[in-house]
Amino acid sequence: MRTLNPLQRGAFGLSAFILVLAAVGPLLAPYDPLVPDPVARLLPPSPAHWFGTDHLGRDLLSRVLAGARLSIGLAVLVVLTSALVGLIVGLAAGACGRFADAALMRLTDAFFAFPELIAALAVAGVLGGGGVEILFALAVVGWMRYARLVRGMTLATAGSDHVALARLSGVAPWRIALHHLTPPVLPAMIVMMTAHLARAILAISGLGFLGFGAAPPTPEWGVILLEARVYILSAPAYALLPGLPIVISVLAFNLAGDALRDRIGSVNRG
Amino acid sequence: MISYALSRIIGAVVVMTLVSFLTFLLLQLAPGDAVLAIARARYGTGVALSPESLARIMDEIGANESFFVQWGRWAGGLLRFDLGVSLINGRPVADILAEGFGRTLQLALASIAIAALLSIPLGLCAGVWRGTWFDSLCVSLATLGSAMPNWWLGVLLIVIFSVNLGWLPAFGRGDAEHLVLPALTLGTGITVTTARLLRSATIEALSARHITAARGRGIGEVRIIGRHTLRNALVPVITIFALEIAFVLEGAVAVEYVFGWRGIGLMFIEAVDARDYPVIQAVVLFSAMLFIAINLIVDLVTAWLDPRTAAGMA
Repeated sequence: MRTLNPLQRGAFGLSAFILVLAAVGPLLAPYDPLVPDPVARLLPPSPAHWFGTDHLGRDLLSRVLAGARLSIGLAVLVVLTSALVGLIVGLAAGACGRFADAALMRLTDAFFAFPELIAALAVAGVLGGGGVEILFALAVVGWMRYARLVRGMTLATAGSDHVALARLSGVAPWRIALHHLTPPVLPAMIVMMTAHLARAILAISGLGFLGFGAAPPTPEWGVILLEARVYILSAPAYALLPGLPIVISVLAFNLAGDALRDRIGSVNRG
Repeated sequence: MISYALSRIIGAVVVMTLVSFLTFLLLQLAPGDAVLAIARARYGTGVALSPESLARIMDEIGANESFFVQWGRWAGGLLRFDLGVSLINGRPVADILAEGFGRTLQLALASIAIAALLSIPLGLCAGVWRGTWFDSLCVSLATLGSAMPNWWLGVLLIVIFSVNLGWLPAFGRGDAEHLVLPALTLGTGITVTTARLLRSATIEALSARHITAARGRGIGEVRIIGRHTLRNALVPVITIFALEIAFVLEGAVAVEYVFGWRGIGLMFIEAVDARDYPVIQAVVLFSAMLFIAINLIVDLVTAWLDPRTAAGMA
């Protein structure tokens, strides 16, 4: 097994740090992220306000920290939901015979044909914004990769002797799925989930920036940047700085995903 | 080859039918009464709605009939390029789509050109000079580039080139100057993917035995790269490049929004905002069909160039 290089170790550390920050971030905020201060509008970054203040005088660092919970938390939920749906569809396609396989895979192809952002925008827009709606919209466009992965691996496992033996001895199908078919796909799924987390953060903030995320006073990373967009000429730092946490978290989860793939790949090769 | 092509085409038609069904299903997600939602979109929320106008809308969208009849009629209209009319301004959706697509195509072609010009030399040099500072720089930039939302990159470019340097206009359409920043923003994603792939393809191609043999025969390095490496390395790159084109439309949504470029992407956002269902459905459907068509073409061309693909050996 290969050991991790410093960059990969850094990516894991940073990913873990971001997840912790998302959980406790709002508690660390130096100011109330929702209370406006008319005297302190559009201040540039300073020791008192590290990221400066927004157009209502709210501390930007506090808003970014508070937003971490929503942006990252929602991304985690999107990934878990998509992975679960993909797992179920993939297991069904891989283990329930050729007809189910063909039907489910054509359905997967059809869902896959929709560009992620366009379909998510349409679903979120038609449903009318909000956390649950975004979760639904992004799960609708996010489960197919998992389904393809699980289906491919399950086709191999479902034909193996120990599964045939379990089936012959009358083990319930859901038990076979849970105990024999699911464990082998988990490592590959975790790799996929890490990379998906990065894409989900991009998608959630993108929806927010385009006006289909959380309702404006809520601090969500994309929404903060949407509000800042009008001030791009007068306060460029305000329009840019809140984007850094997005770039950093996506970078961290991307690198962590690559590192996991290397590592799990080498485990699989023995 | 012919049976492979036929099965791929039939598969694509099946998927396209499913796609049209899913797109139609989208409207059923609308909370509450779709008729009421349309009436509100058209007449405003505060206005009292007469039963006649509601009945007219129901008639228009065929809400009195069963779901499958509605889908059948809608899909039948699609085959005749009849996409319905916008609920907001009554214009035929096909016209709106054509108008927006023309502008998006302009942006897309410019960004594809930029991506080709940047990614081929960068990817090739990074692969040839593997392990040097230039390679590390390219890899780092590509990693960073793929972590940036394109709309944030757009804002960054506006701040640098319009606000600080004052070289280029930030918003709107017009002459070539207006095209540079949005095309660069949209092209970055394609550049990153293509350059990365070309780098690894070059590294792989350079490690092939015929390259060692060519070196042993004393053939110059430039000739080795130009004639024996680039050609092999470009095959997978062209495939990915074509597939990336399918994603340009998606990327254009946010980029057009940032730069106020009134193409299909910006029109789509406005339609979602206004709940203009026929326009939303048309854009969603069009983008999916484009994806399926490009994939089909790439598969068929690949199979034609390399028959092993069709035989399932590659």
